[in-house]
Amino acid sequence: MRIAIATVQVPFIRGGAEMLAAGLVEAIRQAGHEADVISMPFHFYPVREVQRSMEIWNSENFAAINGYNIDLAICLKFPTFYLKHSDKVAWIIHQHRAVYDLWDTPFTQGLSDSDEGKQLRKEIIQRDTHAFQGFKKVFTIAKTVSHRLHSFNQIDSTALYNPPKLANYFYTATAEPYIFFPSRLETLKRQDLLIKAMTYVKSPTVALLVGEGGQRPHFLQMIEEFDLQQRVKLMGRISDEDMLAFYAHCLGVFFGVHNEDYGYVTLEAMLAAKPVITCTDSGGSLEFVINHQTGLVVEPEPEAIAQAIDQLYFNQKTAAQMGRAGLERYQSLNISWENVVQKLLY
Amino acid sequence: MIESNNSEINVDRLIKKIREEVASRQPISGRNLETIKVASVNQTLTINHIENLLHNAQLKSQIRTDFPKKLNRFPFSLSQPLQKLVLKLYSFLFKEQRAINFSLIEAIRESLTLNRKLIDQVMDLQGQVMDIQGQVLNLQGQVKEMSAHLTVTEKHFKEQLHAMDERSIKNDSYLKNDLTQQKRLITLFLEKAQQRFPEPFSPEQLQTLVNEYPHQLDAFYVAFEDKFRGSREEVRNTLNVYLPLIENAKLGTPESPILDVGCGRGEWLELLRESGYSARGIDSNNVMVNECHARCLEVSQGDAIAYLQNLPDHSLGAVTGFHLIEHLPFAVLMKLFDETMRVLQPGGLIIFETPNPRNLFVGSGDFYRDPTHVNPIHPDTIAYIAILKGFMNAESYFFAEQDNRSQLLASSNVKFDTLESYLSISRDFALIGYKP
Repeated sequence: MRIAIATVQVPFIRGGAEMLAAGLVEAIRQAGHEADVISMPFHFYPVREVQRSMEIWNSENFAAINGYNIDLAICLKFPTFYLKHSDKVAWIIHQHRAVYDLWDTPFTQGLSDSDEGKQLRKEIIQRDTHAFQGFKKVFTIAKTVSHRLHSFNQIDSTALYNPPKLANYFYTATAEPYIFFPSRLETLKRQDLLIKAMTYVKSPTVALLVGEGGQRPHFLQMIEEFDLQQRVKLMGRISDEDMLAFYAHCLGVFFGVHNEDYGYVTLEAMLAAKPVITCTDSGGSLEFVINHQTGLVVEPEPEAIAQAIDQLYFNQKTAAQMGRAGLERYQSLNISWENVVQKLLY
Repeated sequence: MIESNNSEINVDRLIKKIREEVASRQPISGRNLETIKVASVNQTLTINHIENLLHNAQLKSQIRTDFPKKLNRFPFSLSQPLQKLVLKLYSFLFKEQRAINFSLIEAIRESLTLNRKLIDQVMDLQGQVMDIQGQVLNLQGQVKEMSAHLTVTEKHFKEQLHAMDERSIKNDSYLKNDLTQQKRLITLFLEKAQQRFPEPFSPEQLQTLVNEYPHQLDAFYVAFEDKFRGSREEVRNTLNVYLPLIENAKLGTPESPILDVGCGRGEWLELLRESGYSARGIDSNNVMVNECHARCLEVSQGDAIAYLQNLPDHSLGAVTGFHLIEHLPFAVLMKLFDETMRVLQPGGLIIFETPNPRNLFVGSGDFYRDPTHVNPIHPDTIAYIAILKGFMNAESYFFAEQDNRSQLLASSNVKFDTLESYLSISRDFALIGYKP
C-alpha cells in the first residue's frame, strides 16, 4: 500500500508530534508498505491565517498526487482532517486546543474575547465534527484526547498508544537515592513543583532534572533561593545512553506536569521498572499510573510531593515492587508500533 | 545500594557514578541484534488478501452457463436461443484460455503455500535468534556478576595479605633485629681482635666495644614498644592533636625545621612530612633508626644531648620529644632544656609528651612497666622547670576526648577533688612552651 501521513508543523521545532510522525513512517515501512509524511507550516495567529490553512487542506485532494495513487491517508493534526480522500484514518495527536480545552483560559484570552475568535471556534467545531464523520476510523494518541473529542464533537474514538523512542533499550538497576525528572524546562512541565517539594523532603533523596528550556534561569534562581544546590541539579541535555542509565538507577520518576495529553516520561519510567509520582491534574499519566500500585498520585502541592518522595525512600522494597508492577502493566497494554500499524492499516 | 544511615548524599559523585556505568555499557548504536524483525502478522494478512484474489479469479474463469442477469430483461430476453449459441461459441473460443487460467491459478496457489512455509521458517529463525539474544544477555549478566565477585574476592585477598604483612613484620622483626644486632657486635669484636692479634685489646678498642654494649637491648625495646605503646595508627591518631600548634606558630619551614628527639618509630615525623612540614629526628636505638630509614625519614642515630650540643644557635623552629623525658636522669633532663633553649629560634616551640603520673593507673603501676623509665614526672614540676629555664607560656596539658577527637586541656583548669578525677584524667600529658 501507499500511505500518506498528513500533518502540519511549526518549522524548526521538533517535539513529540514530529517524533511520532517519524516513528509511524518507519513502522509502516518496516511492515512493507510505502509511506511518506506530507506536511505544511501552520500559523497559530491571526485568525485569518488559521482559516487560510483550513481552506488549503480542504482543497487538497489526496486521491492521487502527480500520478501516484494514494491508498490511505492518515491525518494527525488539525487542519489536515479536511483533506479529500476516500480512505481517511485519523490518529489525532491533538485538535486545535485554542478553541477547545484552552478556550476561555488565560492561554487564549485575546481569542476568546473577540468576535472573530468566537466565529472561528464555531466554524472549527462544526467542520471538525463533519470531517470526523467521514473518517473510516478515528483513533487518538491518548484517552485525554478521546475524552475531549467526545465532549466537544460527540465523536467516539479509540486511544492508540505508541511506544517511546528508545523502548527496546530500557533496563533497570539498583535504586540510588535520587528522583529523576526529564522534560523541557517549561512552565507547563512544573519543575518548580519538584524544586519546592525538595525543601520539605526529610530523607536524603536528591532530584536530578534533565532538559533544556526557557525556564532554566528561573529554576536556577529558585534552587539558589531555597539553598538547594546540593539537593537539586539541572543537568541540561544528556545523551540517550545517559538517559537510559539515569532512568535505570533512579529511586522513582517525577512527572507532575499540567494536563499533558500523553507523556512519554510515564511510559519510560514503566519500561525502566520505576515508580512514578504524578499529580491529580497531570492528564495522560493518570491513564497509566495506578495509585499505590505502579506509583503515587498526589495533589499538585509541594508538601504532598515531598511526602511521596519520602515514602519511596523509606519503603524501598515497596517502591521497587511498584516499579516492577509498572513494567508488567506496560507489557500488558500491548504498546508497540506493530500494534499501531495493524490498527491504522487493517 | 542506598544506605539509610547515610544522611548526606553527594550529588556530583552520584552523577559521576552513573555516568561511569554508562561508559562501561555498549552504546545503543552498536546493538544490532534487536533490529532483526519480521513483520509476520502483516504478511499473513497480505496472504489472505492474495487468496481472496485467487478465489475471485477462479470463479470468474469457470465456464459461463448464463449471461449476466441484466440481459434477461426486455428486450434482450427475446433472444434466448441466440444467447445460448453465443455462450457455446464463447466457451469454445476461450477453452484454451481457461486451461491456461487454471494452470496459472494452480501455480500461484502452490507458490503461495511455499511462501507460507518460508514465513514459518523465518518465524522459527526469529524465535531462535531471540533465544540466542536472551542467552547472550544472560551471559552478559553472568560475566558482570562474576567480575563483580572477582573484584570483591580480590579486595578481600588484598586486605588479608596486608594484615598478614603487618603481623609477620611484627613477629619477625624482633628476631631479625636482635640477630642483626648480635652479628654487628660479634663482627666488631672479631675485627678488633684481628687487628691486635696476638696482642690483647687496647683501652680504645675496649671502649668501642663497651659503647656498643647498650645497643644489645635495642631489639628488645622495639618489640616492647610495639607491644605496649600501641600500633602506628593509634600513635599517629593521638599525635594529630599537635598539628594545629605547628600550624599556628608557622613552623616547619626549611628555615625553621622541627627536630624530634627520641623519634622512635617515626610516627610523628611521618605525620609532619604528610602535612608538608620540614622535620628530622634523632634516636639512640639502632633498630628504630633503621626502621625510620626504611620509611625514608631523615633520622640520625646518636645521643640526643650530644646532637643538640653540635647544633648552632637559633637553628630550629621546634624541638619535640614523645615519651622521651621519663627515660632521662634529672641532670640530663635539665641539660636538654638548656640546649633546646639555645638552638631554638625566637618564637620556637617545645612539645614534650610523657606518661601522666596524676592518672591513678599510670602513677600506681603502669609507669613502671617499662624497665627503661627512670622517674615519673609531675606536670607541675616539668612546667615549673620550663618556666625557670626561660620558656614563655609554658604549661602542661592533659587530653580530653570531644566528638571523638582529642583536644588539649590546660592542667591549671583541672581540679583533682574527687577520686573519679584521678581515674578519668588522660594517661599522658604534654608540656608545651615557647622561646621568647
